[in-house]
Amino acid sequence: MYKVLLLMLVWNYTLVKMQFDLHMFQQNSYRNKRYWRWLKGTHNRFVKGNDNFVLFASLFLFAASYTQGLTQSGLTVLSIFFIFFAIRGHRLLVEVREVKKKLVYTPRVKRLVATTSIVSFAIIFGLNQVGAIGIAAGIYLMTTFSFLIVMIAKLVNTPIENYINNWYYKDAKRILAENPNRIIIGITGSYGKTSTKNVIAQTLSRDFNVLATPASYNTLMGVIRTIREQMKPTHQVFIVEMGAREPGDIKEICDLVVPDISIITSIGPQHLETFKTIENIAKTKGEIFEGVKPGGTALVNLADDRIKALPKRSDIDYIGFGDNTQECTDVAKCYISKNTHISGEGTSFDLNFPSGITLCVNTKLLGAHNVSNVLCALTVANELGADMLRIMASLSDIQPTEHRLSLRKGRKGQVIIDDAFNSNPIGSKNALQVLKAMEGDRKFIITPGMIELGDQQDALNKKFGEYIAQACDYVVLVGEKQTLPIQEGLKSAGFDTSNLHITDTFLNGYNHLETIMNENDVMLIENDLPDAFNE
Amino acid sequence: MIKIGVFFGSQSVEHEVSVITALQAIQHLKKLKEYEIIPVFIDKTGDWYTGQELMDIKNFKNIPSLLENCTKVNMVRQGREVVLIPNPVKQFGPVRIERIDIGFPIIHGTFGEDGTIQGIFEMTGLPYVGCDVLAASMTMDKTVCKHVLMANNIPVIEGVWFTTDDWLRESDNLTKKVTKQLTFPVIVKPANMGSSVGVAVAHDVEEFKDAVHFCREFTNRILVERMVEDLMEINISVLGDCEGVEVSACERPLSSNEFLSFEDKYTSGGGSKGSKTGDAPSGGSKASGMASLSRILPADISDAMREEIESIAKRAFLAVDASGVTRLDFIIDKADNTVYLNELNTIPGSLAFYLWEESGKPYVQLLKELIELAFRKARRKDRLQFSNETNILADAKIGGSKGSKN
Repeated sequence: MYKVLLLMLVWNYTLVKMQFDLHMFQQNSYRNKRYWRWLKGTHNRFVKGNDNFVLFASLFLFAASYTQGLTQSGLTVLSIFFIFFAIRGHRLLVEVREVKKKLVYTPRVKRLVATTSIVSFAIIFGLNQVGAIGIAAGIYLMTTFSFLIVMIAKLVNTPIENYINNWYYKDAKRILAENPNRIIIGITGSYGKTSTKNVIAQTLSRDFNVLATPASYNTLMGVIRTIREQMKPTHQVFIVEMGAREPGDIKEICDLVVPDISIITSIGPQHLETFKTIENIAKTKGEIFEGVKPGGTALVNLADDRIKALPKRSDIDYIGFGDNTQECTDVAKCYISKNTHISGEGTSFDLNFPSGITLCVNTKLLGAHNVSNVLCALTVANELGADMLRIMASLSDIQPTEHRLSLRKGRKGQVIIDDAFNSNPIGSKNALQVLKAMEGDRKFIITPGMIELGDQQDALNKKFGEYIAQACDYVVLVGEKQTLPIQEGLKSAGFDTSNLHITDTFLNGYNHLETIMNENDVMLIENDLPDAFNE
Repeated sequence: MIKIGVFFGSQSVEHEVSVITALQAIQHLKKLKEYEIIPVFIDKTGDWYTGQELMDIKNFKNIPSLLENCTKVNMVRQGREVVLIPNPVKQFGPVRIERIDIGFPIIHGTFGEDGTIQGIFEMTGLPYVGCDVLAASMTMDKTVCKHVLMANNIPVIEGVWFTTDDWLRESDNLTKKVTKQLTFPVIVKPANMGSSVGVAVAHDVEEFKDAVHFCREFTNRILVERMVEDLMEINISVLGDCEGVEVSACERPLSSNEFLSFEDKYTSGGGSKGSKTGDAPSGGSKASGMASLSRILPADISDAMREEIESIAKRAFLAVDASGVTRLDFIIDKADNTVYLNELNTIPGSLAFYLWEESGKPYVQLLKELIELAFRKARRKDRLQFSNETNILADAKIGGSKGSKN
């Protein structure tokens, strides 16, 4: 009797824990390999140590079954363990609820919940048939290694998922074919692809019916979903942001959409753990040039040598864009920017067209990298035959992407430069440049540093610390362990550590800043890590 | 395929003319391979029909039998699409007949040129060609349009306006007003009908009262204007929207009567040669509408006058915030060469294609640009925020005797 009750409790506890496992699985893109890597990493606090009391409970049960029934005191001890289970399960639930980005119950997750419930129930039921040792071992494994059940469930569900995905793929192909004259623009890059996509979309949308994949829908399934849920036959331009977690990801998307114009914004050391070498990253990004329709166009960022070095096809055109320190070689023609001016109000530069004309460009966007974004957008617009004078006139309407050097106000009316989304070495440097150029009394920064930079992570973060020391009066770092390299950088640049505050969560750090800032101060929020990385 | 719904016919005195204009346009739209044409015919009782047979002018000789081969429909929103559904909806029938991606109303006069169908397009969220609700309804009523033009310093002929109820109350006062403010002869017309229906000339008070009685059969809103006796008519087309406009060549229509009557405009068998390019639809000159009217194209006027007309036309188009292709009818008083804007037509007969062909723009190109303007209008609207995202009722105190003041 107690056995059944205990098993039920274990099953319940496992399901609750599995909700957390599913959440982390979702954050790791449902890939077993990637999930496994995360489990082994430093940010996973849920496997070791916390479940050892479960081991004791199961050992106790093991002992109890062998003594042919429980004595009064035995029952008491067992009841205490039951209570522990309940409390522990509840605490886990609460922690799960407090995360920033909750588990989203997509149809796929619902299918995984069904499978994991069945698998775990089957295990429990099977355990029930085996003797006490089996039960004890089983309980320990199930609760401590519940993530294994998630991984098994994924494998079990694979045929169903494939069938559903195939159907969606064909449906997307059909919808795309409704307007064969549509211009498809593909964008990828280690960083800058989302902001470039947004600038291009806003630039073109005065003169074309434009559809762009929404933020973070840069996987094949995301693109398919965009097409099925938002595309109309009257859309004349489709801008597709393509992200890559593994080689072949971008080729997959190109096979579906077949771009007319492809753009690589940058090739840099992002996601080095998956790709291992930067050559692999370059080759994967290069898939977008390989995927261009014959007769189409590839836009080459002249500032990036790796993009320039990609193998060239003879059946498409290559057009370069960059500033006047770059050389216009190996491409058919170039769009060049010069005389860039950065301020806290916006950015301006002169644009030299291949035809020889030069026009002055003014935008409210902040940061030197936006020069490249706007230049790229104007290149696309000109190549599509848009009326450039009209386009230039509407540039002042372009809004920054939220959380990418966008502006807002704090509680006291102080200016906040919000650069919270995925940071990279160049982006963070430009953000500090904007912070410096911004009018204000004191300059603040809150950051947890940059991630996914492979073995260069520490060095790049240290350099970041040095730049911070030159631009900021007060610094808040999130995560003591995480930000050690930045702290080193600050120290080596001679930063006064009494103006340094280290906090454990972003929210605490932000609240701290709100209390000490005045309305004429300026704050920079640089990079804000997803939940999987909280300390 | 992008499906373009062409809407024509409707409850208007110019019903048949609209059929001609629409079928003419469809012949040319067919040359644009990226579009599939969905014809939607609105009959004189207001029922909507669709079917491929609607695209052949020959079938319109016997409309009842034509409609038997068509499907009666309504247009509604379904999901994020606009579709034609059967009328009535059957229990076990198809839930949709056809999807429509962009609307092209080719209706002259009431129930189509006046903002009514434009309202349906707006509510269903369908991008559409031509003026929006405001511009369409404003320009349909000659009285209101005159007010707006006057407020924007566009020269118009002096006029007096009143409703039939006003007339029943104080016809003597109104007659005195007319004789005082205007000079005979005057022209009495309905403010909101198209194409010379209900119009009469009056040379003295007796004729004036008769003219008003005649006009009252067609409308509740009457406009009386000084008639320019020695006049020259010049028409010009304006194409574009608030972001930019283009003007066409000018034409000088010819007629034997004092003014172009309905008969002149549409039933004259003596059209000169049809349109210049010989692109007349099947059916001969009688069925080629405005294109077959006698006209001098380009108009034989001085450059100075042409420039003045072009300038006024552009300003007037922008003053009423029109969109698409319009035809502006000017009256020139030959006594002193004063230029007056008489009328703005927002869905002109034959879409004024013959004026644009004279300017070097073929009909197909005109249609392409009209569709682009429709998209541009939809994009302009999409940038605007029409409702608040928050639900104000969520925090409001609801209930109480008369509700709160706000």
